[in-house]
Amino acid sequence: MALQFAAFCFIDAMHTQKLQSFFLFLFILLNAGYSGAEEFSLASSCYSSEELQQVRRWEQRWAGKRIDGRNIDLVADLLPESFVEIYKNPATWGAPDEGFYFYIAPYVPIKETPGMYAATRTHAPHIALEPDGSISNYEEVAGRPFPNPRSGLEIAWNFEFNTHGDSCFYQRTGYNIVPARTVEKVGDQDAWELFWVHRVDVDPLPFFSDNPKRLARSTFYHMHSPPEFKNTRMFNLRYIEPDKSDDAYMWFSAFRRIQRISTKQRTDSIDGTDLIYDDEYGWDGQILRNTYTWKGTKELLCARHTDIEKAARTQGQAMLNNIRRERFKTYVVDVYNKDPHYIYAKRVWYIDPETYLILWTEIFDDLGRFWKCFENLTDDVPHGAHQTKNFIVGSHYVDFQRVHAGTWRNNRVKTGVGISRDMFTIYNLQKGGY
Amino acid sequence: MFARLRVVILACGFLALPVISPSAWARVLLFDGSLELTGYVKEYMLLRTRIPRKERRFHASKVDLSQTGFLMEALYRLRNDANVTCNLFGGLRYWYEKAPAFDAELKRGIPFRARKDYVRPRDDAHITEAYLDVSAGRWQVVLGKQIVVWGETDIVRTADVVNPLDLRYAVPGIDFWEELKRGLWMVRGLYQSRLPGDPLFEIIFIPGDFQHTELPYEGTHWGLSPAETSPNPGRIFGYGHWLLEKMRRDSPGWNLKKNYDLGLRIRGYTWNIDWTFIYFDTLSDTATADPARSFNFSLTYAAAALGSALSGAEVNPAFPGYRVFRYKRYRVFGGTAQTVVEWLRGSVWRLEWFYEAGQHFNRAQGGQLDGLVYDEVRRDSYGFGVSCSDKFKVPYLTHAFFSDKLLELSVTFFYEKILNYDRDIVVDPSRGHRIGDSHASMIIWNLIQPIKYQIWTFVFAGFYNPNGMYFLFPLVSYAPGNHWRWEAGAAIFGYRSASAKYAYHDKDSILLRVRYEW
Repeated sequence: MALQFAAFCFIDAMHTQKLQSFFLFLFILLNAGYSGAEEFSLASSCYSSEELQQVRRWEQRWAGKRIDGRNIDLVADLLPESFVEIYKNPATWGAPDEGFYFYIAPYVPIKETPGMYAATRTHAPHIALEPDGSISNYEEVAGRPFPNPRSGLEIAWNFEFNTHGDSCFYQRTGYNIVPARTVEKVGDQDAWELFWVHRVDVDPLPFFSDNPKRLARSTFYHMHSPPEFKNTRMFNLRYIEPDKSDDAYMWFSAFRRIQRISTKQRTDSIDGTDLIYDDEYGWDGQILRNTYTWKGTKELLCARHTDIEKAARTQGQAMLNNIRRERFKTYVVDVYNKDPHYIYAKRVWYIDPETYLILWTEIFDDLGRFWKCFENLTDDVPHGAHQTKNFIVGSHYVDFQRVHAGTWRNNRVKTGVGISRDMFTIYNLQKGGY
Repeated sequence: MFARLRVVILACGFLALPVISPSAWARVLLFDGSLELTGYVKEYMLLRTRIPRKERRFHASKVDLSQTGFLMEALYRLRNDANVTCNLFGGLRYWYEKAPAFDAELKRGIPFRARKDYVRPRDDAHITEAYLDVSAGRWQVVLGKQIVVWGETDIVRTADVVNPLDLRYAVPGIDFWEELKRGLWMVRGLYQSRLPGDPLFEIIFIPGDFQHTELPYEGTHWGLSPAETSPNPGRIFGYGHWLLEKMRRDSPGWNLKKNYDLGLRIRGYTWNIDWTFIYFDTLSDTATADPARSFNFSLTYAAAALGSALSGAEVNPAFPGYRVFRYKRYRVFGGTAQTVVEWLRGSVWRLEWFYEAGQHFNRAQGGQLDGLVYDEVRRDSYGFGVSCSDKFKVPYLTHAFFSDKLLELSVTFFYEKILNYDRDIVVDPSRGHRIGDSHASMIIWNLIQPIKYQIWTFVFAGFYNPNGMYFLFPLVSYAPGNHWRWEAGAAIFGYRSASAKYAYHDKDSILLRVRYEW
């Protein structure tokens, strides 16, 4: 894997296009052989070899090109229509003088961690869907439950079983933007996430046996700004039981006390952003709250190898500049919430079949009108037990009806980190309360 | 003319604050992040909307309070590893109350000694908190001046009994508790056990520090008016000041032998309920008068008042050296519980209760606050507050104007009763009792509606007491960026019956507040 990565970096660094093409072809051949011979057959590449050759031919022309408002039409069929409009109308979206731009990068396959391969090999053959759509022995299995999905629901379960390296940490800077006035509010927080089940990379596998509260996932946030949230700390507990709401506790420094907070209202917008509580990662709720229809595949330009440190922005800018997007074939899944009064009529996920991270989401309001488009930017980030794990390092959230936006930069992202289970306790909340 | 000019000058001071340019959006981190600084600078103004006729002689303008203040909090991480964390935390504040400087009539209405204490912090009031916090494994020890919150509900304090309040500039419901509470020097220890329910044990020992509840000074915005309590206003300070100032002077202060406070709290989780039990053995933050000395003390004031009335000269009596007011020991048992009720829309329910054992009360004819005290008795009392918080979608408005941010509503029902009550028992008016009633009840609400991505926020807080007392507080907040917060609100107080007269009944005001926060 490291060799592959090094080889790709070498190719990417070449200046001569012909040389680049030659080595790229060689790299693909080698890579195909490597994947097939050594690894369990997860989706090691979203493309068949013929498709990949077509992509590489396209990349010969486009890789390294800067895309901005002047030439965006040439790749418009590879982007959500709404985002094309942002590039064409930069002034509306708070762009700097140079406008919005990004670079085309060659497609690089992403391999899952060895733990994910091993767990999939062990568990996937035995996983079956119950009539209600749930997975039998849900808490005891891990890996990718459906390596070769045949339905939207199976894709959704694959998304659910991506445990982000079993734990992760990131420091998030979030910009909440009114682009027309280039005004923004900035939030700054540290976040830790721990999976208690479906674990594939870090012992114990595949779950914590000592789990009296029957937790599936826990998250801890330490907010530093804006000032009204300074040193506010909270944690959220998600349970294995699909019909049980999360529990959350917050230390709010202005009140100097720990309060239990309601998490039932999942459609409440989060602190003045365009997100509701269900929106993190593209979907942050119980899988069986939705129905899923697999609509096929769609090639999009996706930011799957984003050097977030190099991303550029100025105040009020709705979208990061200087990022790289690669042509990539996503799975398209229409997602309908079972609650008929749900705030969104439909989500459309564009999901990465190699990682099962949601790369693009289009959202329609209760009247069926297009409303929001979200993009997740990912990168191969350090993993405590393995070399890397592809994970989200940034996001764009755009509300096209209200012309409002948000951008997140996740810095210092690490997966597979050691997180004490005591972090998600009242005592820990109390300890850091200043 | 001059009054208007003063208002204009004050308003200009208000508007001048934004000249400070925001340099960064985040907290200030120094020494590789070891030292973290946060804080704010604020300008706070209260304009009286209705000044009673007899009080107008003590006001040249409607600006009753105009305070410039800042708070700087520092967290210094001495050690932070997997086994041990050791941090220093401190808060430093300063304020200057400008209204008496601009308004000579207002200044004249505030007794001299009180004025000195009022305009800026005195003694260690500069330091909000200052402590060393050491955690190792399941243990945590915190040493120093601290603010501890044990309660869960808003506006009324039920189980939240540790720190006394400073009500000179702020009142619950309008200001945050952190601005109202007076820190105490204490030792606090916590232990996280592994017993069923994961109980967290907390012990507080306050070895000698005593702070009384700071009641507002006569002549200031929240205080009594000399026009009401002085028999010869302008020539002698009011009887209210005579009592309150003596209470302050009789406050025991530091006393390592007698002033100990001891508190215990257990926090746990059982059957989806987060609960606490508390015990606190403490000196009361409010005083009771010694009946044997109360008459002589009152007589001293009466003699001075008579002299002032006869001579027409300014006569302010000297405070006697003997102790009149005493802060007596009592004990509080109580607890809290909070849970989320899934089948009630996932609303959060909180319960808070207390049982006060041996709290001291005075007896005066008819239970009048300013009546002649003839006895001191001990009484037990109990009370509870039940609160429900939930979020609601307002049809059309939530989506069209509130950026899909739901309306948050919290409603609390509070009840308390004094056992073995009789009509002569004098009850602190902040407890909401009608004179002659052994009990008090209140419905308290807090409604918050963020608007336009939380750039604007509308808050409507208040309470209603069935005896006719009420408090309404609508507030609009505007926070367009990362630092500035502009607030405008109206504090409206009222009552229906003379026997249940709200202490702030004539304090209706417009509030203007701007903060630069970092």
